[in-house]
Amino acid sequence: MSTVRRVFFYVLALVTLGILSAGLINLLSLSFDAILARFTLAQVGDLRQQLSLGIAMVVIGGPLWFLFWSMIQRHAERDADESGSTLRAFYLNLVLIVSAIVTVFTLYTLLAWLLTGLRADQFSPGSTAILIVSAAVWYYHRFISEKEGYHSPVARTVRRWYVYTLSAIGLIWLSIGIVQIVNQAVVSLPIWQGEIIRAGFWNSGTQGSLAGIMTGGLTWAFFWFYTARDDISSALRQVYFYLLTILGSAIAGLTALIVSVYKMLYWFMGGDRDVANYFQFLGWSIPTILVAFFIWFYHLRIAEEESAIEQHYISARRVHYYLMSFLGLGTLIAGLIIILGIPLDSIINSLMQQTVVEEPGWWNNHLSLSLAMLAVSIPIWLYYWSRIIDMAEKDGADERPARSRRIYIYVIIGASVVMLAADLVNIVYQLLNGMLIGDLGIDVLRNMKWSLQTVFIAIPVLIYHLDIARKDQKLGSENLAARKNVTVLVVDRKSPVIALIEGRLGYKVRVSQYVGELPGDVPQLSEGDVERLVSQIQASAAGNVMLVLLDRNIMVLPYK
Amino acid sequence: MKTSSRFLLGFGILIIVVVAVAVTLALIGGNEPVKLLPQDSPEGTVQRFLMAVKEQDYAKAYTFLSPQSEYLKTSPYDDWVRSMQSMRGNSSWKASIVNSTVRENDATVEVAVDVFRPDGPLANPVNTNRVTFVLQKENGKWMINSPVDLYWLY
Repeated sequence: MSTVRRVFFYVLALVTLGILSAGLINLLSLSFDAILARFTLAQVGDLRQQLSLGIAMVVIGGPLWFLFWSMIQRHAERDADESGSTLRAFYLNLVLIVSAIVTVFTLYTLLAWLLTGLRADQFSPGSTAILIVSAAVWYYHRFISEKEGYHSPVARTVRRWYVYTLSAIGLIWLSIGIVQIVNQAVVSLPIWQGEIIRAGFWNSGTQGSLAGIMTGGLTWAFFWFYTARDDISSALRQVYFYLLTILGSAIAGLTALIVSVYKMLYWFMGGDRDVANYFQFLGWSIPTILVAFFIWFYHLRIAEEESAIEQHYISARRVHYYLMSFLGLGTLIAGLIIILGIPLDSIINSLMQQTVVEEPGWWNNHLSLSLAMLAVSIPIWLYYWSRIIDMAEKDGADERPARSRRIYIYVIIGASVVMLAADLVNIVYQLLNGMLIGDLGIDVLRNMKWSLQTVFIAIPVLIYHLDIARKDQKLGSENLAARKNVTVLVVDRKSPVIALIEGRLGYKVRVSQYVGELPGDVPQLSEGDVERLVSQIQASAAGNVMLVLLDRNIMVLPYK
Repeated sequence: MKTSSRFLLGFGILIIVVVAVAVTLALIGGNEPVKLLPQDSPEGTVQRFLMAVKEQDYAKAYTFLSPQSEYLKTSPYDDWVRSMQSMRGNSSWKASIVNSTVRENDATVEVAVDVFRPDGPLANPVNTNRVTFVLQKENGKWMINSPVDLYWLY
């Protein structure tokens, strides 16, 4: 089928599927209404309209969808190119992801309703109808996808997006549900002062949280433990691990920890002693810390186990160390900037400024927040940065040119330079402005206070990391061999020689699987052979190289 | 010891010194009571008005407002108190007089109000608002004409 014809069929299939689904939802919703006898005589008119519309959509949309979809299926069954096409993969996974998300959200509504005790007045016919139709659409398209398999790289990639998106939605929902229900339980305890009316624990909020836990838990369990179980080597899985679960949970947990430490310190310093139920924040902060820690620990262990299997343990550990170090350093810088504001403000206050209203312990707020940030960030940054220093000292040849390290160092240097530039612009502007208008008074210092705070911290951070970057450069971190676009043509996609080649090159290669008759015996390559091949690849004149490993006549073919 | 390690150690010592100074200033200097300005001055009037607002003594705060104020001509006392209560927040704040101009029967007092409101890791937690109070003398007493609402405070 030509591309234009293919687009024609899939777009029409999608549109008619939408019409059919909407019609079915309409009719099902009406049926539920009828069962519940919700309508009165006055609504008979609406019922007929709705019924007519539903029937029309089903009667027209149904046969049309069936027509287009069966033509698409006939082509897919006859032609392997058709079943492996990018558009088909995109269509199937688009339908899957949309129907799965709709199913999950409407399942939540149904579960929440079940937890109310099946109250007829709270039943949503529309939502239940959507659940049934979307679940059916999802199931059918999943059946088709699983039956065909995912043979092309595009099909596998699109499927991964669908799987990890739903897995992420499930995990986030589950986590939020757990934190909310614990918080609701804490708030419902009969220990808080000043309550004149207390709501019971079992209310719509608790029911909603429980429904969220069940929905999120089911979704995460299905997509993570079942659907994604064999997908160990993909890049998207690494992004899911390191950016979403590990870094995301670290940020959530550390934020909750900082807030807890800040509020505790502030209270110990005498702040908000008259605020009733001040410690209710522990109801959400402690469960957040615990849930975040569990998610962080679990996914870190899985990532390390899988990276050991895939023989890139060191690079996985490196990414983790640099991410956590970055998080710690960022929080440390923020805490230092805030604490520097205290002596600066004291200086400003002592220079002619007249404070007329100040609550007792105004400074305690600044102090509590900055000390909380420092207390949390310093151990984290010191621990991970010292590990990084150790790695660089023990294995500098591999560590210093590593991409994670260079990204880390240059992002910090870049951010410090930008921050310094912005601060210096403000400082110079305030000074010049003051000189030109003839008022270099306390106001000038006041207006550049924040810039002074950030400058005093940005300068040492910049100097330190520039020194590290300079040392890395002297030790050859920038003398990298130019990357090539390498495609390896093999008999078996899972051949161990691919990992060996990637390990020597330092980057991933594209793998293509030969589908014809084998010209000869598949070569068994030693480490020396791999070393020679990698040297040939690196020495080749072109940026693109094809490596053919089908028989003993191994070919390294540069091409444009 | 390597240069970078010496630098790190030096920076660590500096951090400890800054923290020690900040803690000392905050715990000792931060608890001194502010000096009350003369009651019959515009600055003193503004100070007492803001202190009453801080203590949520709205009846007392209202006594510093001029009945000639445009806002109060259209809104009765109850409405004013309700609007103050609805804007009440949990942020801590302090106010400092930046500038004042006093004439025979009217005055302006410019006040800088620093509100502590953390907003993100690298954002300045202190938001500074400049408010210029306009006062006039009525029956020998300084009264605040504007502003009478403090929406920017919260």
